[in-house]
Order: sequence, then C-alpha cells, then structure tokens
Amino acid sequence: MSAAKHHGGHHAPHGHDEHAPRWLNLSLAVILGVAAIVAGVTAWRGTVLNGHAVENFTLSTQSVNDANSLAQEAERASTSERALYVDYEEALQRGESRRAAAIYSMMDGSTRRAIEWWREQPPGERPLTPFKSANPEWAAPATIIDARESLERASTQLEQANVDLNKSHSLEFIAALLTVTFLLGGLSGVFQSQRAKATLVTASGTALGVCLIAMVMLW
Amino acid sequence: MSARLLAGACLALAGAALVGTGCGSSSGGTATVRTTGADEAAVRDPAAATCSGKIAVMAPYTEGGSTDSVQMNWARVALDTFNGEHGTSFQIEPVDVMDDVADGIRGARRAIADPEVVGVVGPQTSVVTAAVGPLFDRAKMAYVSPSATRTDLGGGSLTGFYRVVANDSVQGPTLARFTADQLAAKKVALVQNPEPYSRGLADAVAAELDRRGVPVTRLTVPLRQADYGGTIRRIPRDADVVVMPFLLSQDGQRFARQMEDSGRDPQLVGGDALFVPTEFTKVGAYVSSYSPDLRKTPSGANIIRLYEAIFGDFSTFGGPAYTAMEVVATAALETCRDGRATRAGVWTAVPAVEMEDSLLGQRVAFGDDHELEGGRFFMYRVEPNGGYRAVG
Repeated sequence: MSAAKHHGGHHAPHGHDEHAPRWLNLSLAVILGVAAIVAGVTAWRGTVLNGHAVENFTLSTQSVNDANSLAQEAERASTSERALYVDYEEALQRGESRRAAAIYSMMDGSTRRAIEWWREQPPGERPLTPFKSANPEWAAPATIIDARESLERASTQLEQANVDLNKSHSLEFIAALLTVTFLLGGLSGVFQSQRAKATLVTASGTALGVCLIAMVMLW
Repeated sequence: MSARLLAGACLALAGAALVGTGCGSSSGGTATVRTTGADEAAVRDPAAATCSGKIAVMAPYTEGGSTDSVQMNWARVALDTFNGEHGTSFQIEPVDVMDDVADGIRGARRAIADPEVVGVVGPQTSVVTAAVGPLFDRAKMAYVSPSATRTDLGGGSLTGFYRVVANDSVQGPTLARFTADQLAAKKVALVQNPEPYSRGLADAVAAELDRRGVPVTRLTVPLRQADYGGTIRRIPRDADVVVMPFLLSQDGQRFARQMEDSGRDPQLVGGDALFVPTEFTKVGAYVSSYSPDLRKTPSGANIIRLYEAIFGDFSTFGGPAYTAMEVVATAALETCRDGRATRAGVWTAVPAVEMEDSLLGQRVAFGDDHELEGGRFFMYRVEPNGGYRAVG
C-alpha cells in the first residue's frame, strides 16, 4: 500500500507533499545502505591494493638487489676463471705441475668441470678456450641469464606496483565521491517538496551508480 | 515497486560486491601463461619440470672466424634461458660442422650414437643437411635448421627436417621484387656461380624479373675467381642493377671491388650467402637474409642485451638458431616422461610445436611441408659504418 493512498490522497497545494511516498523513503534507505557498503568495500579494496603496491615495490627492490648481486657475481666469476685458467695453462706449459695443481685447486667446481670437458674433446673439435658456448659445463651464461631474469622480474613487479597504487588512489577518489551520495541523500530529508526529495534521491542514486561502475572497472 | 523487491535488489548488490571481493583477491598475483604445449605440459606433469636430455647443435665453433660460434652462441642462450624459465636441465651437445659433408656425417653419426641426444638444432648449411638428413631420418631424430634454405630440402622429402627460416623459393622472388620495385631496375645483369645454391637462386630471380618484364642478362663465374675483369666487361653498359647470388662472401666482396675499380657503379644485390658484415662491406650494396633485424622485433631487444652481456658482440644472422633451439626444447619438454626427454617424443612433437611469438618477430609453426608458415626474407643495405641496415 502506498503512503499517498494511506493518507487518503491528501495533497498539499502547488504540488507540495509533507509526507513523501513510502517508495521514496525506501529508495533512499537502499541507496544509503548500498552506498555505505560500497564505501566500506572501496576502502577495503583500496587498502588491499595499496598493500599489494607496497609489497611489489619491496619485491622489486629485492629483485634489483638480487640482479645486481648476480651480475656482479657473474662478472667476478668470469674474470676469475679466465685469469686462473691462463695462469694454469701457463704453469702446465712450463712444466710447473705443483703450481698448476695449486691454481687448479683455487678454481671453483664449475670452472674445473668446464676445463675438464674441454680437455676431453678431440683436438679437432676443441673450442679455442673452455669458456665457449659449445662447452655445456661453462656455467657463466646461466648465471648472467639468472641476473637478467631477476632484473626483468623487478621491472614487472615495479610495473604492477604502479598499477596497484594508481588503482588504490582512484578507489580513494571514489570513496570521496560517495560522500556526495550521502550528502544528497541526507539533504532530501530537509525538503518538504516531494519533487525536490525525488530529485535529490535520484541524484544520490545516480552518484552511487557512477561510483559502483567506477569501482567495478577499477577492481 | 514493493519494499521486498527493493530490499532484494539491495541484497543482490551487496552480494555482488562480496562476490567481487572474493574474485578480486586472486588478481593480486598476475600470471602470464603462454599457450605453447610445453607450458601446459609443465603445469600438467610436475615431473616434466625436471626434464633432462641432450640437444645437439650442429654448427661451427672451433675456427674463430667471423661467423664462427654465432649460431652455437644463440642456441646456448636459448637453451639456458629455456632451462631457467621451465626448470629443466637440458644440455647442449656441440657438433662442430659448417659446410664439410664428411664432418657432417661424422658428427651426425656421433649424435645418433649418443642415446641421450633427443633432437638436433642444425645443420647450418644446405649441403650438409642433404648429406646427413637420411641418417637422422633413419634414426628418427628430428633436426631443425636455423639456416639451411635450399628449397628441395623441404616438402617432407627429409622426414625429420624442419627449418625456422624461409626457403630459397621465397628468397628468389624477394630479391627480384626488391630489384624491380625498390631499385626500379630497367635492365639487370645476373651473375651466378655454377653450383646448386647460386644456380637455383638465380633461376628464381630471373623467372620473377621476367614475369615483371625486366630484361635480364645472365653470366656465370666459377667459385673463387680472382679476376672478374672479363665478366665485368660483358655486363651490358645500360644494366643499372647487378644481382649476384654468389655462394661465397669473399667472391662477392672481390667482385664488388673490381666492379668499382672498373669505373662501373650499378646497384649491387646479393643473396643471403653474402650476409657477412665482416667480409662483404661494399657500401650501398644490398643483401638478403632469412633473419629479420632482431633489434626491431618485440622480444629482440631484451634478448640481444642478454646475448651481448654473455658474448660481447652481436650478429643478427644467428637469431634463428635461438628459435630453432626453442622449438626442439619445447618438443622435448612436451613429451618428457619420468624426467627424461626422448628422441621418439621429440620426433613426434616437433611438427606440432607452435609459438605465438618468437625472437624472429613472427608466429612459429610448421606446415605439412615441414616449412615455416609465413616465412619470408628481408633486405639489408650495407652502411658506411660497416653495419647492415634493414630496408625491406
């Protein structure tokens, strides 16, 4: 049963109505209720995205550090293995077996494996040095690739962090816009005119709709 | 409108918001899944993640020459990158072969005898491919060449042969179209060597030029000729373009220099055999290549940086070896069982490998004729700084 019917069709002059129809009040209640939920969800989502952004910024920084460490390690290992190998070969050619053995013992495992593989190749199929792509035991490429992948991961994480942060800021803006919904809804109680009330409730509902659509798009 | 309806709508909205909340929580971590079968297999079968096996690479690596090791380097970068991305432990098995057939046969037999070798990247040249192909076919060993372009290798006559580059039936028309359209040739001299690569390419160029109504004068010079004076004098004075599908880059360089010394200056166009930046340096000449300019492909820049970090210098000519290795490794992973790739598995899977994107800047998939779908050739101009610039 409508509010207007309940009051026997008592209408104020010039279209004014002291008692708004029930559907208008219910609409207002629904709009404000949903607005409250959306405000809460928006705030929560914004916080979550902000957290993701911070997490990704941290991970990105960590990945950059990892990449730098790996790159430095690869550079150091590469320089070291070449220098040791040159000394080792020189010692062997001079017949200084004790010195050669000492240098060999200073090499890390992957360098020794690379040299052993190289030595085992028939002379005609032996690369110029052990540190060539054909040597499956040469580990430097994989280390450099790991460093590069870490750097790419950092870049992806940084990009994601920026996306999350931008979304978070947009959601905060939506939360601010939702106050318009509350304001218009609240103002509708101040007016006696049914038309004014309806206009304000409609405007409040429209603002809520816009916020809802924006929230879904930014989810 | 009834109050119940409004209340229902309100609840629905609230519910939708909560459902959205639940759905959204999973979007925190974004994952890009490539649609290659290999990735699916890796997801399906955790054992595949530790897959091992050897992939032979038939390419030169012992000479220390200008293009030595380039394909081996690219194949190695591809394999180590693949292992890093998929958690596999495939290993490279180098086979030092360029254009010597005896070396090729010896290397092929060695690869076939090693039960751990499951597939091959290579051979580099057409002549070796034709010689070792039947051996690999009998052993059911799939081989994916990054550079063997002779047309008659394809079509399925060699059952295990695939290539990630276009064949010479594409190269000939490409050279002819470039000559007729880009260089607006009025009359063309076509200077060829008396051997299959050069002759086949020259035939294809002549046929396409003839179809376009461009007059062609054909001349033949032997390989490694020291003095081209007689040949140059026989080139018509009004020929404004000389197409020279020579087999050897040194021959192309010598011919170009003697042409210049004789006071003749027509436009020079060479085939992919002249694509050797350290040896063919005639400024303003054009050469073709089966490889695009990797600096311009979407994933090229990143991989070039990686390549340079490992090997220092960079040559675009080796790029297809990267893609060939990706194909074989993908097939090996796709059919991995109990942590081991198998030769039979690679043999079965290579024809079905599809990569939506590749270093070559195009989709990689093979047709029933074992050829790369949509394969094409690219034209480059020799620049004053010694580099080659892509022009078409």
